[in-house]
Amino acid sequence: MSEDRDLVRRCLAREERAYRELIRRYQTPVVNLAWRITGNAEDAAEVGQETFIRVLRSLHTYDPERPLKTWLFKIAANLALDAIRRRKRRPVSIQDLFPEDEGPLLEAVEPSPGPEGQLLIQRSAERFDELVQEMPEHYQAILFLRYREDLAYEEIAETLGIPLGTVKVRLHRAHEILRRKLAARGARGTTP
Amino acid sequence: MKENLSCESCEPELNALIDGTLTPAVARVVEEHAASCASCGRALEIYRFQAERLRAMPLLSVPAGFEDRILRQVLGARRFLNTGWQRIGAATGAVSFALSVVLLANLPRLAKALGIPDPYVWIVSALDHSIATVATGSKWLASGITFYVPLGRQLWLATQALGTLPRAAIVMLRTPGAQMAGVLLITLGFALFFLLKPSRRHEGSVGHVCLSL
Repeated sequence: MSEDRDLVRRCLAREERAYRELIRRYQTPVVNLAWRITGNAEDAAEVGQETFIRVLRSLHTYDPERPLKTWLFKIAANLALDAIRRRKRRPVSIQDLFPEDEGPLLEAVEPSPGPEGQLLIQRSAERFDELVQEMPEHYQAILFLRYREDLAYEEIAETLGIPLGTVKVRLHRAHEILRRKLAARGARGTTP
Repeated sequence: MKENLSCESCEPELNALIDGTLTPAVARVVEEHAASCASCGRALEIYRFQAERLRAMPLLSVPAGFEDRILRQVLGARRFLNTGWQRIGAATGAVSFALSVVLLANLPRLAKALGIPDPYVWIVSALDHSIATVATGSKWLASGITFYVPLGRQLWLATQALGTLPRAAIVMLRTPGAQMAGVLLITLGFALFFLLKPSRRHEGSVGHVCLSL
């Protein structure tokens, strides 16, 4: 937090190194949040770029008492939603999550996996990631902010501009969708 | 929270339990219920498993040149020439270009002052000598080594045809405009090559800036 404050102060003094540091520090989370919201890597890169341009140009409006990360995420989320509106992309429906002709989501894995077991674990992880990516974007964004960025519920609510209760409900629903999917695909072995 | 928690009330709290957002008292009640209820216990295990996997969800890589594109927009092209080598490269390119123009404009005068032939003669004579060397070599191959006769003959014929080039070049290069244009193009080519060279490794470098100006 104090590091961010110092970084912002240096950016306000138009120190180019500070600009670079700020971008490097937050580029991956910002682009990934945009990716989770837009569902498109190209859009995510554009949104990420626009986010930093806006942030660096309007740093004087930033309140140093609030976390920089949340402020960045909020701008990125708004821009990502604008990008979706502009492109008028078809939102992914819940039904899309349950195609009938998929193989088992998770494979059985030995307790002490050898090379083959490791491969199965890797495959299972990939399938799990695929399942997350198939989820509607608003669930993905919440899961990303909660688990990858470790944001508190309140921070997620502020970032996405939704009530705290909605965050809790959506998180629970996201887990529920994943659980149903896992159950439907006969997950065994890798789940605890 | 009441001690005899129902499964319906417990399940929505399981994620909060994993996330550590429940008060200690509520967390204890939920944990006790999950320990005594097979269904909720299983759900808790699955949510824990999900949380663990979600913490390791894959990340999209940031595209190359991301940082530089932002800085170019924010700081402008001039300030983007920030690293020492980029500045030196740009300055050297600009100085060499200016010097070339000055030199070219005064080349005939300079050659006269130094008492050397007109510069275009150097180029033409160098070209003529090169062609003559190749022609002589191929002639030697054609007449001296039987094995290479067919190949040498072809080469000799080809270079004989090239022999007409110097005359055409002399006629063309005699005009000062053509001389000037030729050297300018070569200089520009070199300048652009050196400016664009770093951009192959690093998008958004000085070469890209020059093109965007």
